[in-house]
Amino acid sequence: MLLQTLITGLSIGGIYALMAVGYSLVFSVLNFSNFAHGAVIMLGAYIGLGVVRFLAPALLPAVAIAMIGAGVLAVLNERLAYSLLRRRKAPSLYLMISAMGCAVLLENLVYATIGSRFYAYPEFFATSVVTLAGSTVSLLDLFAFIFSIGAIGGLHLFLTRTKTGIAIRAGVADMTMCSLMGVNLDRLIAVVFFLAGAFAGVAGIFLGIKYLVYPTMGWITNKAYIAAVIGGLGSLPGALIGGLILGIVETLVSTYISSVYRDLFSFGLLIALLLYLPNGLLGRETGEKV
Amino acid sequence: MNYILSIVTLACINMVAVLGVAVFTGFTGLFSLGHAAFVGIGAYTSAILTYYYDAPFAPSLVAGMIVAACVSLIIGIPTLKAKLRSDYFAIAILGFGEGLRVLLENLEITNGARGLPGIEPHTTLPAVLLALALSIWGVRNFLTSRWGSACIAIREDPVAAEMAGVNLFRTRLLSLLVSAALCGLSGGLLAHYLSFIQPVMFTLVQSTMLLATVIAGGMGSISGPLLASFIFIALPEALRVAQIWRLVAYGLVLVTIVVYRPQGLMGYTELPAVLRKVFAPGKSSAPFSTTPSSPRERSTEAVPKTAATPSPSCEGEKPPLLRLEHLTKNFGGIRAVDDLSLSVPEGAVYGIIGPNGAGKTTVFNLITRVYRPDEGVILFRERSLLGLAPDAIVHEGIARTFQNIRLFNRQSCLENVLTPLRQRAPYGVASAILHLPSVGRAERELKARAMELLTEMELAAYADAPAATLPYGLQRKLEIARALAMGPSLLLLDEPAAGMNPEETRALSAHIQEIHRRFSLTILVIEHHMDLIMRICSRIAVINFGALLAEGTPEEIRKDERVLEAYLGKGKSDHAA
Repeated sequence: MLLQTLITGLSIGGIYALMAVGYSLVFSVLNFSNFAHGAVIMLGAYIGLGVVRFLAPALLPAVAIAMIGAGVLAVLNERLAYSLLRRRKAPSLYLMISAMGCAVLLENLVYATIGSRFYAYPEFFATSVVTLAGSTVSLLDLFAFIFSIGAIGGLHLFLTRTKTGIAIRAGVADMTMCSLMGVNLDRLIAVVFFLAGAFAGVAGIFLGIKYLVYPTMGWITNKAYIAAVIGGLGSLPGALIGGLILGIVETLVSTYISSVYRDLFSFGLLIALLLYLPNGLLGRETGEKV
Repeated sequence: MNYILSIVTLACINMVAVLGVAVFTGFTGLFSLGHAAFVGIGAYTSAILTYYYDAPFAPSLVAGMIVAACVSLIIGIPTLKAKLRSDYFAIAILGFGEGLRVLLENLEITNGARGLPGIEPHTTLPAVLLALALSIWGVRNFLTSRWGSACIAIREDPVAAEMAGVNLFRTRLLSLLVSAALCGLSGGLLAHYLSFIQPVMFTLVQSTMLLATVIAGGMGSISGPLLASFIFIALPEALRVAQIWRLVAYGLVLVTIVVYRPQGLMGYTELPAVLRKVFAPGKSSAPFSTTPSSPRERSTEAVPKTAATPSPSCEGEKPPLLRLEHLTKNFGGIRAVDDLSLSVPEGAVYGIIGPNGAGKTTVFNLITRVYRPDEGVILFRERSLLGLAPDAIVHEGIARTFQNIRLFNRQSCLENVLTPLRQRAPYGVASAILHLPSVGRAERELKARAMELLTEMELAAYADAPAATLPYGLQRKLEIARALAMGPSLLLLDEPAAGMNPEETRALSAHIQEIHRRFSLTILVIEHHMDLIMRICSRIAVINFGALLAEGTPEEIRKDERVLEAYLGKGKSDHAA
């Protein structure tokens, strides 16, 4: 029973982690909470759905196109809603409010154009189940989990081994200095948003397969945000660990206490963390630009 | 007709909540993504009272306001005490609001997610208009009182506000209480108008819309957000646009305004003021066309030779006014202040000099509790200051200015000086909101006193000009005037002559001496202008690398070998000061 709970928790946590990475990536460079990330995840889910329905009913092309599409959307989002604020050196709060506006805008745009219908992905993984030490895992969950870990690992390699990755990490340390060293900041930030968007695209498809596709599905990512806060906003390993911890804890709460209070618990945890451990488990100290 | 009436009613109900968020966000500078929850609390409280307990309408509204305010304390006290980053604060309230919604969805008395149907439709348009008018009146009174000016001071500059005697925590909490109560009132009216409420009406989206309305209308304006609220609600209704497109527009407007016009529709002004300006264009305010030319001349003349030795008589056997003992402060691996001990005699003009980065400003920041010392004691009138909050230290009688001027920029010069004066105003919150006659009397006296201070500093001509529009030198003077308004016995001046030419510096020296005499102050001054220091100080401390290098009269310091070495290096000590 406990093992089963842990496995269920880990599989949810894997998706949380995948979504949390997007928050952390943007936060690490621009020092603000990009609440439009949830909307980009939702759009990624719709893009994947469109591919599956109208182009090719297979998972891989859907994932590829959703990653590219959501990545491009995220870059556009940055260009239109954040870049001016960034240049004006506005407080991070303003970027966050702008992001909130984007979330409301995008969500309702989908609502108004595509409609509020719930769509389902075809059953790529049927309902096949793998048995592990007496507990069952659905093939989808297992795949999502392995994919999440793999993708986050790949991102880590990108950030530590490539020229662009190293430039991004330099930008995290000191943006002004970085641009004085000859790094094109706009391009760098575009790369960061593209990466965050690409992760949003995958996360959207997994969410869509696991649950359904609908305009307000992005609000689930509030949970992913909480995961990012647990791990420490701006830390990629933190996003992974935070996602897994939140997944397990939530499953434990809903199994042993009450599923009703699962969300209450998560929001309480968010507030407590912001109050007493604002840098999370692995985050670095970040002051606010005033 | 009924249709139009219903739109107007809904718009006015929304305005009450918008008013609350305007106080919190526009005037106090705190952002919340959870105020819809307070609307929800008010709605459920009053609805449950009339629905289950047959309570009369008006008291149920008041109960909704009270409960919403009390609930806001639960999140307000810990988050405001912890001084969270402003975006973390907004997110914490978001979490709180969403948590409350989950609770409403699962409680029995709220009938869960299905909502409460069949609430008596008590709310009528006249009732709403009355509630709105009372709210506007109360908010206006609140904002023009000491509490409101404390809120605005915090919005403009929290550090400077503390130094003007404003308690950050209490003022912010009060602002939250007022805004939550107004949201609660709006909720009560809404519940009894729609006669049906459910938790999904009070979510993050509604909170974002409230915030969007205030930002779009103008931060620091009452009429702006009200106007925006009306436009947002009435216009789409009039155009018969579906709810969904309205939300699309909300999002679009929010992003556009934040990115392109952060000051919003009305900026920091009010509608009546703008209308007056439009209809009477001849009388533009141009305080600088009449710049008084006298102050400089007068002050230059007023440099008497006697000033060089300021009353040594008063430094007799009295205990020192301020004593620092073994003060130490580290920033990471850097020791900014190193085992520093000083004593400042009462009535002295005491100078602190030292090379850049010597830790002089850090000493000021330790005294005024911007930083907490790692070790050591700070005694003021032989009482330790270490247990006191920054605003309490100000009320003990220590006022300061800042190296990089920190004024309440958008406020007029008069308001800048009034804010600290008001922090001792003898009236309470309730009488301020009701604007009792005693408040008016107190305010008139304070204004007169503020004008006196401005006149004293030769700033009376600029009383109505926003502080940021003043030229640099006058901004420094205004900062001194604001510090004096605290009625201090010890004044800390941090590089008052920074950026001034020799002539201006001389004028300032004379001015400081005049203030010193007139207000019987003890002055502690940091400066790099040696002529100013040597002219006005009776004692000087030299600090280098955070530690005391030398201490003594100007004469002694002038001759001190170590000082010359620190400033000029070895062997070049022939031409000092």
